Amino acid sequence: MKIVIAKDFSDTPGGRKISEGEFSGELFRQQLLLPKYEEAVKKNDKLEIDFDGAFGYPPSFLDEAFGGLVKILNKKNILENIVIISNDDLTIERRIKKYIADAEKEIMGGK
Amino acid sequence: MGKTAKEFWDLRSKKLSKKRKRKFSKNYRVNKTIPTSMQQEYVPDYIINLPECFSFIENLEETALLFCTIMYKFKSAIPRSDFLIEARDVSKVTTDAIMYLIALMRNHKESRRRLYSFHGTYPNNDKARMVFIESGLLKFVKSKSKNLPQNSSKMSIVCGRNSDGILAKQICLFVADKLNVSNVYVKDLYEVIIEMMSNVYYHAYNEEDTMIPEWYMYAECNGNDVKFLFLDTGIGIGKTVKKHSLYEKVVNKIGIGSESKLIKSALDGDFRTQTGKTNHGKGLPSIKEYACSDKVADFHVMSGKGHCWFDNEGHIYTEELKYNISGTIYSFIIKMEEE
Repeated sequence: MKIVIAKDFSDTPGGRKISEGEFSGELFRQQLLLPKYEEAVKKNDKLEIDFDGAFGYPPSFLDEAFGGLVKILNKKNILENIVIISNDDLTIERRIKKYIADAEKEIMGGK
Repeated sequence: MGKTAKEFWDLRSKKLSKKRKRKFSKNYRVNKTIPTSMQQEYVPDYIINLPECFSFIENLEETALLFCTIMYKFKSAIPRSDFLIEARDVSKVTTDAIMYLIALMRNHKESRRRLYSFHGTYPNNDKARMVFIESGLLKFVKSKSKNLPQNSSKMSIVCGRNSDGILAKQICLFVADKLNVSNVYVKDLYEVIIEMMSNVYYHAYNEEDTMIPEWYMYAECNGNDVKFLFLDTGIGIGKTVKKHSLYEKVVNKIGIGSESKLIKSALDGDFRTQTGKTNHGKGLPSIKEYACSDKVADFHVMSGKGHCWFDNEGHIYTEELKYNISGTIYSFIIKMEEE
C-alpha cells in the first residue's frame, strides 16, 4: 500500500487545519493517511508514504497529520505499520518521529 | 429626451454625497467669484510627509515613528478624511516600508471604518521612484501612471489571509530560478513561509487590536542573493506570547523584562506546549533554525517594540525599540548555494 503525497494529495502541502487553507495536514490525515493506515493494519501490511516531489512539509502539517493520527487512534507505535520514503529531505523521518513521540506523551499524560 | 427615474435618482444621490463631503471636510474652499470648473482643486485634509530615508532596515527609528504618528492621526481624524502621502523628498526607500504603508492603508480598522481616502506623490529621485513602482504598489492603488512591464528580478508584493501553498511555491520557484539552484535547496524556505502565514491565521486576531490580520510578501534578486520580506498585521509576537499558558512560568524562570527578549524566547522554543492546544508553537523555532542555517544571512525580525537579529552561529541579538511596530516584519537574505 502506498501514498505518494506529491501525486495523490498535493505538491504544495499547507498548514495545520482545513480552515486555514488548502492541502492542510488535517485534510491529508482525514482523506488519505487515516483510511490507508487502517486498511494497512487490517491487512497486516505496511503503508509506504513517499514524501519526494513536494515543495516542502511545514512542521504544522506533519504534526497535525502524524501527531493527529496518534491522538485520533489513541495508540502508540504507529510507525510499526508505516514506511517513510524521503530522498529529497533526510530530516523528514526524524521530524515525524518527534511529532509522534510528542503526541504519545500527550495521550499517556491523559491516561 | 427626459431623464429616466434611475438617472434622476443617481444624479440626486451624487449631489447629496458631494454636499455631505463638503459638510465634513475641514479644508473645503469655495470662492464664488472663480468659475466652478476651477474651484475644485485638490486639497487634502492631512499631509503625511515621508522621511528622506523611508526604510525600516536603514532608518528604523524614524520610519517606526512615522507610522506611529499616522496611526495616531487615524484615531482622531474625522470620517471620510483624505490623506496625502507626500513622497517627493524621499531619496532612499526599501520595500519593507512601502509594504507597511500599503498594509496600513488597507488593514487599519479606523481607516476602513471611517472611510479614509489616500492620495500620493512619487519621489522626485528616479531610483527611489522605481523602487515604489517596481515593488508592486500600483496593484494596491489607483494611479494615472502607466503600468510598466514587471522587473524580472523582482517579485511584486502579494498578500493574503490564509496559508497559501501556491504563492509560497511561486516565491520558491522565483528564488530557485534567480539563484540557479534546485527546488530542494528552497524546501525549508517553503516550510518557513507556510509557518509565517499560519502564525497570522492562528495568533493574529484580537478584537482590541488596531489592524485586520493579513500577510504581505516580497522578494527581489540582488545579483548573487535574494532579499525576502514578510510582513503581517497581526497582534505581534510579544502579545501572542503573553497569552500563552506557559508565559508566567517562562518569565519567572528566565526573568524576561522586555519585548525583544520575549521574541527571542519564543524563537528559542520556550513556549512550546504539550497541552494539546491547536498550535503547538513549532513555527517560530523552525523559523529560527532556518535563520541560523548557511542558506540565510542578515535575518531580522521586528515586532511590537522588539527587534531581534541573528548571526550564522545561532546567536540572537536583541534591541528594544523606542516606537511600536504593529504586526511583525521578517527580513532576510537567501544566499547562493556554496560549492
